[in-house]
Amino acid sequence: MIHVLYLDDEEHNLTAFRAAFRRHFEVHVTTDSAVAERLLDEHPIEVVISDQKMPEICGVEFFEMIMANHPDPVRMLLTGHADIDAVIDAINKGRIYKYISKPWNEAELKRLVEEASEIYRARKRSQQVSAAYGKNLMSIREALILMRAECVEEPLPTQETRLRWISALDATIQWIENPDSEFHLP
Amino acid sequence: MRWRIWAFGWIAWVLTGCAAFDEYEDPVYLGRAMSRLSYVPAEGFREGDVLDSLLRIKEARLQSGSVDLPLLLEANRDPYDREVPSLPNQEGWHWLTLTIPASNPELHMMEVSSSSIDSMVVWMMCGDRVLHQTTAHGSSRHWPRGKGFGNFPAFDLPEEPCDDLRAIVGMKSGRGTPIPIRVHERSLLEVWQIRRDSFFMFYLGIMVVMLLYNAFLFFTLEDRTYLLYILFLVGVAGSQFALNGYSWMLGLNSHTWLGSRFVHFVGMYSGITTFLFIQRFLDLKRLAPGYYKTLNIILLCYVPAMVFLLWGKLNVAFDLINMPAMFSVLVLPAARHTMKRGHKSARFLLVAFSVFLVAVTVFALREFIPAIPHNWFTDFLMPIGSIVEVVLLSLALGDRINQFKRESEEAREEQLRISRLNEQIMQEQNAALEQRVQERTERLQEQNNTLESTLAELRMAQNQLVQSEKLASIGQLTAGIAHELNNPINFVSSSAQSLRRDFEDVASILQEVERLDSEGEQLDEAVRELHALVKRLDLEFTMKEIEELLTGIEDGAIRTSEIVKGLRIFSRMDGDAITRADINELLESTLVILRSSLKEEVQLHVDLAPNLETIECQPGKLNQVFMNLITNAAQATKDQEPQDRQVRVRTRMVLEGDNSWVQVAITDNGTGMSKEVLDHIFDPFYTTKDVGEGTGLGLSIVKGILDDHHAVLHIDTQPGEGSTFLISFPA
Repeated sequence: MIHVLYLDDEEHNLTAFRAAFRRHFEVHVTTDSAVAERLLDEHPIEVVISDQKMPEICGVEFFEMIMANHPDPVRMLLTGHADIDAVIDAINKGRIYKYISKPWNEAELKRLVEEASEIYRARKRSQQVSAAYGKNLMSIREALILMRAECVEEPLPTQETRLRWISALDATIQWIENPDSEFHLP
Repeated sequence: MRWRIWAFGWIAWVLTGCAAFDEYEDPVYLGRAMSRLSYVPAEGFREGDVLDSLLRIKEARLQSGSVDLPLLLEANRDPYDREVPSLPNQEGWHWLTLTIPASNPELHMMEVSSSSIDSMVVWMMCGDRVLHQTTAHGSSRHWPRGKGFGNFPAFDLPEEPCDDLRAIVGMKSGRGTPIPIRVHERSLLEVWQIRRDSFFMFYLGIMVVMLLYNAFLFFTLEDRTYLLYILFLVGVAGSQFALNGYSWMLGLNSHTWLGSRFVHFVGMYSGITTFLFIQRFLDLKRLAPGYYKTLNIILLCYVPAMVFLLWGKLNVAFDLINMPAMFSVLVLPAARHTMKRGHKSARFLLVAFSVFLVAVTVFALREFIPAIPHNWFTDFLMPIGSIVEVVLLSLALGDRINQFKRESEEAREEQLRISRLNEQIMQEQNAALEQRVQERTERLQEQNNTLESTLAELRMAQNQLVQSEKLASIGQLTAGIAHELNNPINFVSSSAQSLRRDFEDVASILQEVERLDSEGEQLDEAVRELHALVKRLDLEFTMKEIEELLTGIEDGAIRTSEIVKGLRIFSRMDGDAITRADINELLESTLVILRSSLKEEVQLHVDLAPNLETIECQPGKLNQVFMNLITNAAQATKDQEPQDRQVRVRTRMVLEGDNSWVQVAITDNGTGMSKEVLDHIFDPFYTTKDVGEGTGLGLSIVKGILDDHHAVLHIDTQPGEGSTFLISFPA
């Protein structure tokens, strides 16, 4: 089940949202931004939906607030009327995935949440993959460093060969440490 | 014209002369035969005393009845060679000895043809013997005239024959004069006198006719020139009559005081009137001021002449009287001058005076030039000249009338020409004017059209702006409403869908329950399945959710209807209609719309007095006012932090004597306004907002609406401390 968090100052909206989507998603709703943040900590929330107009804090501000601790969940802004400034802010500051206007279309909102969830999961997967890849690279690097140490100590046919091997190893290690640089063997 | 006048003048002169001349033989003049005593002192007398002495002698002798003839004869030593002797203009007695031609039986009388002799004494002598003596002074009866004929002294010649007949003549005169002395038969002298009389009757006739004619003209035309002409004419005629011895007609004796001075007076009078007439006739004052002044100075000569005349110095007076007459020559250049200056009638005067002056000159020269004879023609030269003069001048005056007529005709023609010209010019000008008026009118029409279209465009632009202002407020309204409405719509519609699903869940449970009845034997099984279903569908939760959803739907319905109600109050589709409305209600409906947009931005404090009276107003328009003012208030605070932005809306009821007011105060703690800004806030299109943010029409529309409501708007503002807009509506 996809965990969805919905923040709105309008209680009835929360009720309607939960009633509409509780059969499809794991729905978390609240009127309080502080509670929302705690819910983010407690549940693996993938999609965050927030109303823009709220008395204490506006949607974009809330997204900015949670950016530091919860950068991964996909964010969607829900608003009563098209306020272009809010849209611009949402996209630039709040890294909003989608902008939804009230009244929502249930089917569309469901699809959007699912899409957002896809994105979230893809992002998570690539994070995992890249984390694993990074781990491998590190172990290779350590091995290469060991090899280099051995090259220095072990007798080799010629001094020249030794130096060539060492420089090749150095270039490789350096490349691993700094992937942006161009790799070429001397 | 000119030559005709000249020709007339001269021909008239000559013809008149010829008419007066006839075939009678000339008289015998005794001038060459006489000797003069004057200036030659007799032995034993001192020079200068001569005449007086002689007079004394003569008087003495006369008184004694005898005369000291030897003395007189002895003094006779200055032979005279002229035909006509002249009496010098000297006081006292003048003596002549005349030799009378050898006894001609036809010669009966001796005439001294001069009217200028005041006193006279004659001795007729044959040799040394006195035949008889005649004194001719003192009384007119001694004059031959008194005896029946002649204007001049005449004496009988002695009847007895004498070979050496002489006359010793003593004369006394107040003026110098030629003395033609002639002897002839008495009948011939009588004929001459008759001719003279008839000539002068003719002369008098002409003069009277001229006088009457010009008097008539004077009274008709009332031109003083005619009066002067008449006076002048009287002078001319009078002097001619006086010179020719007709003063007897006035009963004047030459011996008397007035008689001896009559010619002087007439001469003076004639000179003065002549000069005055000339001045007047030639209009010298205007045309030739120099000549005018000169003539005035000449006229002054008559003053001493008058003095001497009254003093008794007749001869001196005579010289003084003659002097201005000589200056009368000046009339000719004066006339010439005025002619050049356009005085056409001056030509007549020129001819008249030149004829007269020639006559005078010839008359005077007769004494000095023997070639000029003493005859009828030369005798009457002066009267004839004066006739010509008078007639010509009368003609000139007539010509003046013609000239006036001509001038007035010319003036009229000129006037006519000018008026025609004016008319023509006027017509042309009228045409031009009409043309210009036409052009001007067209141009004005064009301008008017342009103005109208410009005005229409302006009106349209203004309407558009007002419209855009309305649209802006509608946009603001829509934005507020949209948010306010979208929330309930959102949860109502969403809840409805959810409710349907929940209801489906509940319905499926109910179906199971129904099936429970029909499948009686397998009840346990069915109940178990039902329980399972209830559990699976979480009926308890569903029921609770249904409860919640229904509450939401109800709530949404209420809120939606409230918003719509507020909206209706706000917009009042019957906008311009005047109704009684509660200001609080209007404010609340405005705030419903504004609240959603303002509540995130400003701290809105609303303090509405509960006991407000309703007022007659246009609610839709007032909502526009409140919305505008509250929005402005919120915008005035936008430079501050959200928690510091304060907007306060208050209402209250104010009782002030008989008047009561409903007051609305909208206060902000924003930037406030400077005096300069405050002076302009109601000007249309004046805005302190950035380009595109405001039309600058808002407050001008607000002002207009408030004026329509007779509301008083008071603004209390300080730069940096915020503003209060206090509106007082008369309740």
